[in-house]
Amino acid sequence: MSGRSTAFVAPIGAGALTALALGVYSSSHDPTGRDFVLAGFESTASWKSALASIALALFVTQLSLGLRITGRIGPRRPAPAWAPDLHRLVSTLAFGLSLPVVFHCLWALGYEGGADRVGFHSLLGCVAYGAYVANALSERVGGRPPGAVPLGGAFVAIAMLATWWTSALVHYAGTAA
Amino acid sequence: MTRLAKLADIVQWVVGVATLTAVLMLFTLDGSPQEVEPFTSDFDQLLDDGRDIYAERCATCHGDTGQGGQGPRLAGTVVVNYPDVADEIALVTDGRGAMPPFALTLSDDEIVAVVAFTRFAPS
Repeated sequence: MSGRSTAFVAPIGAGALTALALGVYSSSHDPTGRDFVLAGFESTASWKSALASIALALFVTQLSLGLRITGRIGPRRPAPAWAPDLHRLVSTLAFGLSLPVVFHCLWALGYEGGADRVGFHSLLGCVAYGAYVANALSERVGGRPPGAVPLGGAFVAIAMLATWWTSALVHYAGTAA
Repeated sequence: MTRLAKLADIVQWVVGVATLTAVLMLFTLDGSPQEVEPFTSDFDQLLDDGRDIYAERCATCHGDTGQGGQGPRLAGTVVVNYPDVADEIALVTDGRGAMPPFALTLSDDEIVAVVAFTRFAPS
């Protein structure tokens, strides 16, 4: 297998395995239905929605920084030297903030198939985290095609947005009604 | 190495350890489902009672079909917002914000019936 093939296949394979593992676990594990309410929040849904919203904002910031670093947006001059480190920090924080949300989804609620909102949310959540893993790994693999990482970053941000849309936004729309 | 790079390294380590911990907890934390046995032989009757109570006490604010109105939408959101049925029972019993407490106007059985209706009635 050529180096370029490896650059493509290894991260995407790892991402696909991650998405599959999340799906298999959440499908086979009996959802506990347990609730844990963080201080200052009314319900599980409210803290999950808040953390997911902050994480989404950070994922979008991460994408914007990535596009700036690769010269796709912003002024023509190179990005500041600190931009890559900030990009990495923001990405890690976004992932870290989303961890409790994902944990509760997997452990307490489980995977629900079907063509309704919950079904799409389950699928999108697995795909989003698979894409995150694939994109994070592809940044560390040499010989990747130019544009692969920004494209992957955009895919991650869109998948996270869709996951948020089918959960936190529904929560806010429901509580605001 | 800049301070930002060091901070990013530290945060990566912390999140990495948290991720591994979360994965371990997924397989080790007590995962037995809560004991919920709503499907008794009298369950249909419970839902019917809950439907009547809902129409009389709740529909004014939450809408005839739980679509929301003065109060928040209930249809399709109750189980998501209150995975633990005890939390919803406590909310109906004690009230919160603009939601009045029903402890003095509904019996415990009636509160259970209306909560069951909001969670299990066909939409």
